[in-house]
Amino acid sequence: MGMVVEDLKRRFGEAVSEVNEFRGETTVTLSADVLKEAALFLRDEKGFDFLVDLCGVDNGEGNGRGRFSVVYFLRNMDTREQVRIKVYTDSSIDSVSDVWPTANWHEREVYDMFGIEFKGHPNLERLYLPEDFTGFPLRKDFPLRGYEPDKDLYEGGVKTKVEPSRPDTMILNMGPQHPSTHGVLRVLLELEGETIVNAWPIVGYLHRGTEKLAEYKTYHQVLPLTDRLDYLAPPSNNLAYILAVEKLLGIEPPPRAKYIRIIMVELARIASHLVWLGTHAMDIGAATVFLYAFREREKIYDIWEMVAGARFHQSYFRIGGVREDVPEEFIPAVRRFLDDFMKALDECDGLLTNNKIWRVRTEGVAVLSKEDAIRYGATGPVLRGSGVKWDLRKAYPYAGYEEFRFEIPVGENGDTFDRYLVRMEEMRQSYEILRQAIERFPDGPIKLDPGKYTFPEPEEVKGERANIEALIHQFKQVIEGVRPPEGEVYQAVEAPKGELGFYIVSKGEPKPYRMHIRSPSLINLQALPLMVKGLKVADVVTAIGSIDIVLGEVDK
Amino acid sequence: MGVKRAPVREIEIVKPSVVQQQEELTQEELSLLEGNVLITNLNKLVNWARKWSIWPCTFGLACCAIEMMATAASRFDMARFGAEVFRASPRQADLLIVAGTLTKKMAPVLKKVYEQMPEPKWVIAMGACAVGGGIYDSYAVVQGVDRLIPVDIYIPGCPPRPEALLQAVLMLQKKIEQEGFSNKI
Repeated sequence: MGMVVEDLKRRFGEAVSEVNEFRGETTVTLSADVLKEAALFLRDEKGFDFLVDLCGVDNGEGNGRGRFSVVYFLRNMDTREQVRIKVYTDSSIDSVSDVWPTANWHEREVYDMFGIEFKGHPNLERLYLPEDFTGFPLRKDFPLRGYEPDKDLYEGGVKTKVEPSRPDTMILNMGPQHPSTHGVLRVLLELEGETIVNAWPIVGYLHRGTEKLAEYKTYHQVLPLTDRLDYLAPPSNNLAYILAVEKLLGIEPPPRAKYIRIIMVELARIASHLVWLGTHAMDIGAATVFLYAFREREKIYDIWEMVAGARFHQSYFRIGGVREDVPEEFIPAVRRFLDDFMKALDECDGLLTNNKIWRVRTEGVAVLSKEDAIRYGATGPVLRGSGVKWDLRKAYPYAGYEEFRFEIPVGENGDTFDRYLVRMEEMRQSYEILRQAIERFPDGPIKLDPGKYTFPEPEEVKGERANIEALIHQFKQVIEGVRPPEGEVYQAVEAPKGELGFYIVSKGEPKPYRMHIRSPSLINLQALPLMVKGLKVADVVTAIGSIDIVLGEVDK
Repeated sequence: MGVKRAPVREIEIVKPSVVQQQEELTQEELSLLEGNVLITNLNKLVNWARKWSIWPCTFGLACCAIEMMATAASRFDMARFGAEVFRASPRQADLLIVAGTLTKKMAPVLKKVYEQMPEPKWVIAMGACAVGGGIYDSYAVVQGVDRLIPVDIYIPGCPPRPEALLQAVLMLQKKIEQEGFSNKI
C-alpha cells in the first residue's frame, strides 16, 4: 500500500499535501494542478486501470482548502491495490474522462449534485435532474425539499434534444414508459433504417435523492433507504451499507449472523437473477420462462417473509448482526427450496440454452470487449461475461466469504449469450454456497453487544426483565443511534448486478456527513451505446436486458 | 274528407294469439331458453363487461412494479379477475396502476400517459410513494400522484403485497358497478 504513496510523493513532491490511513484504506490528497498528470501516471505507470468510483463532498465554506473535494477511488486489478485520491477545489477541476472513460457519467453526476465544472469534459450536462432544475442538491446549503418545493414541474413536455448527426438518419425515442427498458430508462436512438448509429441513455427518471436523505438520518434510519436501491435484491444493498458502517466502527458480527447474512444475500442473488432471466427471456419472446422464474422467486419470498416478515425490503440486517434470530424452520425451508431449485433451473436451461431462436438472438449481440469493459468500469456479470475473472467475494473477501468454496464463471466473447451463461452459472454457484452454509450453520449469538450498536433485546426494555441499563441504551439508540469516529470508508460487495459500494464520510456525528453509492447498474449502463452501435433496433432490448439494470439503483 | 282511416282494430298487433304461439313452444325449446334469457338494464350490462375486462397499462416506476409483476405471474394470477392483459400502450388500457415513486422528472410523462388513455379510465396509486411520497420526502419526488391525476383507489404499503393489489382491483370492480356508464364514454 505504501508503495504508491511513496512514488506519488517522489514524483509530485509538494503537490501531495496529505496522506491518511484509516481502517486499512489510504487517502492521498493532491493539489488540483497535478490531477491530470497524476491520473495518467497512476494509470500508465502504476497500473491503476480501474476507476471504481468518483464523487464529490461538500466540506463547507472556509476550511482553507477549497469548499468541495472530489474523491477518486482507484484500483489496480492485477495487484488488487487500492488508493483514494482526493482533490480540493472551489469551482472547477480537470476532467479525467479521457483517462478513464467511465469517469464521464461520474463527473456529470458530480456536476449535477455539486455544480463543480469539469474542464475538458465532452458533455457536461445534468445527469439525473431535469434541465430546468435550480440549484445543486448535495450542497450542504441546499434544503432537503428543494428551493421551490411547490414549483409546477408537471407542465413541461418530454424533450428530445439530440439532433441527428447525418441527414439520412432519424432519432427514435424509447422510454421512459416502455415495457422492455426494465423501469423508467429512456434511450434515444439514432437510426439509419433499422440500424443503430448511436444511442444516448437518459437516466434520472427515478432519482429520489437517496444520498441527500441519508445525510438527514441516523445510521439506523438509513438502512430502509438502501433496500430500495436494487429492489430485486434488497439484502445485498443492506449488506453493503451495514458492512461500510461496521468498517467505520471497526467491528465484526458474530459467526451465526455472518452465516445468516450470506444465506440471505445468496438467495437474493438467485432471486435477482431469476427476474433478469424471466424478463430478459420475455423481452426476446420466450414468455414461458417468466412464469417459471417467478414461481421460483415466490419460494424465496416465502423464506424471506418467514425470517424478516416482509416479502422484500426486509431491512433485516443490523449494525453488528441481524435483527432477530431465524426461526427453527428456516434451515429446512432453505433446504427444501434448494432441492427443487436445481430442477427448475434445468428446466429454464432446457428451454433456452440450446434453443435455436435464443442462440440467434443472443450470440454475437451487444459485444463488449475485455478492454472496454475495464475502461468503462463494468463490474459483475458484465465484466465476467467479457472474460475478466473478477469477483469481489474472492478479490477482497468480506462478510465471511473466505470460508466458502465456489467458482467464478467467466465468458469468452463478451456477448449477450456469454453474459447469459455467466448468470446461469452464478445461480448454480450460489446454490453451492447455500448448500455449504446450511451444512455448517453455526449456533451462537446473532448480535454484537446488543445495546451498544443495535437496539437492546425487547424483553429487557419491557416486561418483567426490564432494566434501567437497557432502557438507557434503547433511548440512546432511538435518539442518535451509533456514533462512529471521524473518518471515511469505502466498502463494496459483489451484488447481483456488480460492484455495489458505499462511501461514507463520518465527522463523528450520529448521521453520515456524506454517503455516496457506487451503483453497478449505472456504471454498467454507460457501456450501452458501445454495445448497440451497428445492431438493429430489436437488439436494444436484448442489450438492456443483458446488462441487467435496475432503475432504483441507476438513479439512486 | 276522402281519407280512409285505418280501423283501430288493425293496430292491435300484439294479440293473445302471439302469446298463444309461445304457449305452443315444445318442452324441448323451453328448456333451451331456460337460463339463457337475461333481463337487465344497459348500465348494468356495460358495467358488468367493463369490470371483468380491466386492461392495465404497464406503468411500473419502482419497487412496486416487481410486486405488480408478481401479481400477474404464476402464484397470484390476476387473470382470475380479468385484469391480466397488461398493455404497453396507454391507448389500449383502461387502468393506470402507478406502481412506484413518481419523480418530478417523470411527472410530465405520467400526465401524458394518462391523457393518452381513452375513457373510461381508472387509476390505482400503488404503494406509499404513489400515495403520498412515502419515505422520499425530498427535492426530487412528487408527494403523491393525486397532485397530477385523479386517483380511484389508494393502496398503502411499501411495497403492498400482491393480495393488496388484487383487493384494489376487486374494489375497483365494485366502484365500476356503481358508475353511470354514460358518464364515462
